Amino acid sequence: MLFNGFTYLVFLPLVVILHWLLPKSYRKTLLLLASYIFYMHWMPKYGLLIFALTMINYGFGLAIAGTQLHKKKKVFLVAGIVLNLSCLCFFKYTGFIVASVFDSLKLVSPVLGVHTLDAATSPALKIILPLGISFFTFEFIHYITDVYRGSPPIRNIRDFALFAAFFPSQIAGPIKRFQDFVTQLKEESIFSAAYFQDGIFLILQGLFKKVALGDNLGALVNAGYAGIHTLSTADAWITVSAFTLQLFFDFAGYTDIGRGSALLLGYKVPENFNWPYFAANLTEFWHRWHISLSTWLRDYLFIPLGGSRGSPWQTSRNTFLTMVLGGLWHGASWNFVFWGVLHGAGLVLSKDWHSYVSKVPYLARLRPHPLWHCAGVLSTVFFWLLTGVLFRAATLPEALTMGQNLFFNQTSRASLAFGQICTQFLESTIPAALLIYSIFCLGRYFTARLSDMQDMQDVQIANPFKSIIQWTGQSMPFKLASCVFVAVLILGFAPSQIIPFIYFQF
Amino acid sequence: MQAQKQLQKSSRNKVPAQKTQSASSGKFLFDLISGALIFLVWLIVGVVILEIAFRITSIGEGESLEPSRTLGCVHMPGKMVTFRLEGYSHENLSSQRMRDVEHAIAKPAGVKRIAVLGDSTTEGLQVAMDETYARQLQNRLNASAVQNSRPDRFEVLNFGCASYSTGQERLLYQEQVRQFKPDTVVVLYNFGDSAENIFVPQSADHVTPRPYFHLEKVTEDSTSLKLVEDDSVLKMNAAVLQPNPIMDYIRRESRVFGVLSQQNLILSINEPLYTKIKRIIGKISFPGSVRHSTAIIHPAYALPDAMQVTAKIFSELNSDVQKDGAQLIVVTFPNIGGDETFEKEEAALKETGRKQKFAVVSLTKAFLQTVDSSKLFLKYHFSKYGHAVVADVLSSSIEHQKP
Repeated sequence: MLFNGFTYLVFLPLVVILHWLLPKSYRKTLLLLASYIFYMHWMPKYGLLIFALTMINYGFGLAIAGTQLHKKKKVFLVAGIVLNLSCLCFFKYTGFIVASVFDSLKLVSPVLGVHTLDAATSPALKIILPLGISFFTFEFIHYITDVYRGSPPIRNIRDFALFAAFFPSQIAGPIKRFQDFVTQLKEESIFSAAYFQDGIFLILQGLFKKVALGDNLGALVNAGYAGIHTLSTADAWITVSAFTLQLFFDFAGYTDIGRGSALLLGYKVPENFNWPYFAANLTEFWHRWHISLSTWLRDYLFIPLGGSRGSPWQTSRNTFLTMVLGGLWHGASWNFVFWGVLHGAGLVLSKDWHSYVSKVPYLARLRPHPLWHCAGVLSTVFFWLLTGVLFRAATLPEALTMGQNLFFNQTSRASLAFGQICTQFLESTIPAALLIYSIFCLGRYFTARLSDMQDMQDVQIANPFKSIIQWTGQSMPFKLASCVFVAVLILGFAPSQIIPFIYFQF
Repeated sequence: MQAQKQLQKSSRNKVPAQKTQSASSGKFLFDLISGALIFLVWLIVGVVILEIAFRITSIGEGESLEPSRTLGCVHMPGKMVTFRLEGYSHENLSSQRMRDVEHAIAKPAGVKRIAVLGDSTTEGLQVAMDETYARQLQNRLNASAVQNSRPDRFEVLNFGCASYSTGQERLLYQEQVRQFKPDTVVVLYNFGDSAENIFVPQSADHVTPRPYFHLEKVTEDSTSLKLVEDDSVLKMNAAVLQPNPIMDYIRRESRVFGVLSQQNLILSINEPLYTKIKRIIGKISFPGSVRHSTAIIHPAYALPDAMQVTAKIFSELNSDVQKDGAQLIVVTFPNIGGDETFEKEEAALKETGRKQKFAVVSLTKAFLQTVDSSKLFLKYHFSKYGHAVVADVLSSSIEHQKP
């Protein structure tokens, strides 16, 4: 079931209404049932997979908590991690491993004088990736590791199953922390108008990001990559820039819908994005982008590897390794390995550069200047934009072709004249949607600032302004009319086809 | 005495309580009504803002058709259409309900007119008007005439309309096309055109309101068949198809209506659940509303053979065209996938063409011979390159057929 599909538009209100109508004792069971319906809607048999993994990890959690012997605890932990990773590897990486081994053999075979593989192609494996497997296996690993580290396990099997399958965060994250979720499960959920209002707001905001921006940008990017061999330099830049925006709007939009859906049910799931394209350096970027993954990688990979406790070289090594594995988490191909390598190297160099700057007095003086900050933001976005080519391209040669189009276009297409992609961009609804989103963000920013000023009570806000903000914030009919307004606005910008979430493949 | 006092006390207390209750219910009612009014006012403000925003950004301008009692649907005259469902175009329809520039009804001296009829493929909303095969054909023929120093001048009129069947095209010829006095009439025959000519038993909420056709014996003993129009579905939908000034205005002018209408179409195509829910809602009978019927409607005659009916429509269209002193050319859609049913339809058309003396031209070969054939289509319809190939085939066919 897609968050931006009509089925979900029927499913969610039904679940929300039933959830609040049912007696409290039945609500969690309803949510669990709804989560399995949601998950099995696409491929019913994979419901068994998530069920089996839930049972096994529940058992591991209890076993780790139940034993006093440290060695035994460790054995259970290692067994649990190996099992979860094996499952992830089987579904996600088998094809990649087989293809890589086959290609390596093909390279080596002429040297060995074996020519049977010359004309052969890599065997095609028909393993369909279960939706959200990368997210829920990481949640399971986090669970058993934290229980090993001393957190009390979830004893109620229904609560644990709901933590694993909770539909608003099941497919696209954020990667939840069980301690936060269980605290919410234990508290008797009381209908909160504020949660409900925020939930609706997040869903509408997410739909605008996903449908009006992400999906339309996706069509442009697809056209660019489909005609990669005929792209002019200008069109190539438009294509990669569009992908940078698509990736954010698609992922952040989908997460907003999930978070909003959870709020309608009285649950809070963590934020996953915090204006990542305003980060002044790569380290800050990874604190703002896919926050739940970054913190997971920090807590369960970087720190166990040694974190920043050792020498600078060891810290750099740990950072690099974490990012390479993080890259591989994003997708099973060499593109993502290289993407991870670039981000690992980028993070190491970024940290080195900052320590260098603080040592050089002249540069250190420049650091607080707004222009320095702007240069940092631009260079970070530029780095993300370029590495995005590896992220989007289907193969390494395709990524190289796009790179060539961007920088070394030697053909007649090397002009900066706008071509088909630019025309498509101008004919599309993307410029208008971007303008509306920018106005919305500025509006939110200034409203928040006004509200802050009001709180501080050191600035007198003009009375009409104040009363309008207060009235619109309280008037229910105004809020309802606004919801209808935004819903029609989204429909106006919606493309003719429902496009799945870009991170589904991960 | 004590009880009496208590009674008095309680009755004294009751009066204000009742007053408070009625006052609070009155306040609730007032809040509800004022809330509804505020909602309505903001909704109207919102709709006005959306109308302006959508107009500026050309959103919700995909609507191009309006209901017609005789043809099922026709183009809205002079309507600005911005089409984004597949490809892109942003142009006005002509005041004569054509996806074309304005054409005078009277044929200018020395001009040869070519009328092209067909469905959405001919209409070509997926590309700019100048890129449709109709316009490219006109340019090619005129360029060729200039190149060969011939005095001929050509004017191609595009009567293509989305969703049209061959039967509707024939009726359109009778109603509108013939008054433009074309010298050549081109009909692009597409996949599914034949099936659309006949009415197969189906539920009332599924049937497309358009004229259907069947064949009847001329007399009881006769073996010859005549074409009979079945307008029962049009009559059944008369309430929806008749002109309605308010609805027509909204359809023509409202961008919000355009957005909702387009989403309705997209969801009806892509989301089976949406169609199911719509059908369930349609079954609910509200007081004073028209109840939609999902009962299967059967035609009052035996199910006709679609291709036989289509061949007859072409025969009659051809005799109309010939009576008007023009010639008919039927172009068949490129059958790139080698669909066997369509191959049979093409063969039947060629046979009819041979008997009735009209040309049947297939686009399949020309499309297959194109080096980069993937560029010829957008998704379902021709790209500008596809339109160019059709124009090439037609211009050569028309030039070869010159007397």
